[in-house]
Amino acid sequence: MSATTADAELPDEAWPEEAAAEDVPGWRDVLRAENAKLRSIFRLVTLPALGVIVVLLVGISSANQQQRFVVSVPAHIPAAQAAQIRALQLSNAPDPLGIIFGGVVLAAVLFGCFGAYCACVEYSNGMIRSTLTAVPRRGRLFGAKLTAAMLAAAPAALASILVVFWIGDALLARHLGISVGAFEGRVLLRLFGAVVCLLGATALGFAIGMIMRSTAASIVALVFVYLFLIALLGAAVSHSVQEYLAPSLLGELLYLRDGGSGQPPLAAAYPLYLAWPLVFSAAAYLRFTRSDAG
Amino acid sequence: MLAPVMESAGASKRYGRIQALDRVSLRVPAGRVTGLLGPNGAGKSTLLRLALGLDRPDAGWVRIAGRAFTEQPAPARVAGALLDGVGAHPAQSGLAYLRTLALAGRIPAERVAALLEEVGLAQAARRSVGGYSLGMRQRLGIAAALLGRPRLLILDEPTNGLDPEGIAWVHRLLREHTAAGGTAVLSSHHLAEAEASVDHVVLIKDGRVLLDGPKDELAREHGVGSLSELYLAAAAGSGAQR
Repeated sequence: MSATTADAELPDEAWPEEAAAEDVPGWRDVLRAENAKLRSIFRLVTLPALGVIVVLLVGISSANQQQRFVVSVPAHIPAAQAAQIRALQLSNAPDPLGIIFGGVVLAAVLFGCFGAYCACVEYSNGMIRSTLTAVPRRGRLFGAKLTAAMLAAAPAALASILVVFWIGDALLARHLGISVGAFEGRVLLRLFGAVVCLLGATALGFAIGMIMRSTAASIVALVFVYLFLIALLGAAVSHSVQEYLAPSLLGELLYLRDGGSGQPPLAAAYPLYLAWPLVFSAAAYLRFTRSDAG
Repeated sequence: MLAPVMESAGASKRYGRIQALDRVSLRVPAGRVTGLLGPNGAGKSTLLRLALGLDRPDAGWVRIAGRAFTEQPAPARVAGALLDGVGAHPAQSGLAYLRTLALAGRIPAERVAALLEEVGLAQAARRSVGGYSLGMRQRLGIAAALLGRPRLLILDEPTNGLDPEGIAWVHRLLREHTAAGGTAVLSSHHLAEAEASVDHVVLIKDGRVLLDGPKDELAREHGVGSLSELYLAAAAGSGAQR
């Protein structure tokens, strides 16, 4: 038997040996396909899911603010005295904007779940085989899938953060007579940091999903990383090591805790936080490109 | 002898304790319908998965049109496949599913509409695939395989869930594909059903090729009149050799 068919003469000219250049799909074609797929698959599932995320984010933050700023001042206290109490509360509060963003950590977990779902949905029903037959170049497909998930999450992340900020800002103005203002001080940087937190969590969730190939297992892993890892590590690792874990870095980006004890400088928090999804994405890439389709 | 469009040499694959394929070497000649035939669990689907780059062989190789499928610049025009039923998400419509594949393969959108008409799903194109019958899903999967007008058409158990009219349609499709110069691989454990379509036979059992050759020649050599008899003769010979 010959070792190759490369020089074989095939019987019909309808299928030339080499495809015409205009017939060869590229990266953009694959990305367009993945975008279209996400829209077609998730039109019933994703938009409500993202809506729930936004509502939760707003709800948690609003409840947090209400509790801190409104409920704590009894209604029977005269207005002038109440204003004094609220001003005192504000002066004692560590950071009004930090309180506004109280739900962002949970939202990061939810965005991570969305990323994991984007990665795993094709493994639950055999879709991945059809996709890999259409796009057998796995590196290209991996990049397109990750990009499509991020493109879907980005508007939702931006909208969520802005909605929460405006509601929080309005509550502050209404009950305390102050406005944080998007363009004041480092507020814009913190808004940007919050969006980065959500997108980083989406990418991390996607990567974990690609590694585990199971939505449920990926969600458990994400919840563990964001909500329980530090508590479980406890005294087993030093405080300075804990500051490099994803949730600590997320907190630093949200609260701008620059220069705290044992913390990396704020400028380093962005790359360090994004290193988490990058490292996991590299592992996911290797798994996706070097193992069976599943 | 016609040149092979799909070829394997020493292809082996093990899943855990199961040796799914054991040094399989075969040739799928151009312009013919090759029947990849054998019982359930024989290794037919594994071979097709290796050919399409879905799984990696532990040893050996499988190539389509002279190179690994994963290295094909325009894969949809080289091979189209129906494996394990349709690969659409239940929430997707048939139209959306085919459009997605067309985008990935840089295939004109008009081809999608024409194919939906051809496979009889034009009326159901905008319905969710989750609501399709098994036969409709098979038709959609076959449409996906045909999308890029591929040289090699690979159909794994394509008649599952089809009514007699649908089965006749599949066999007619295979004939028309080869009449136009294309090549087809029909993987099936229904030997009697494959009888009508295949020109070339690869009989496979326990991950090994029992027979590989033109159907008529093999039948003559073994003095049998049907694929079922041919399989039984080959399986008996294989058992005797062991």
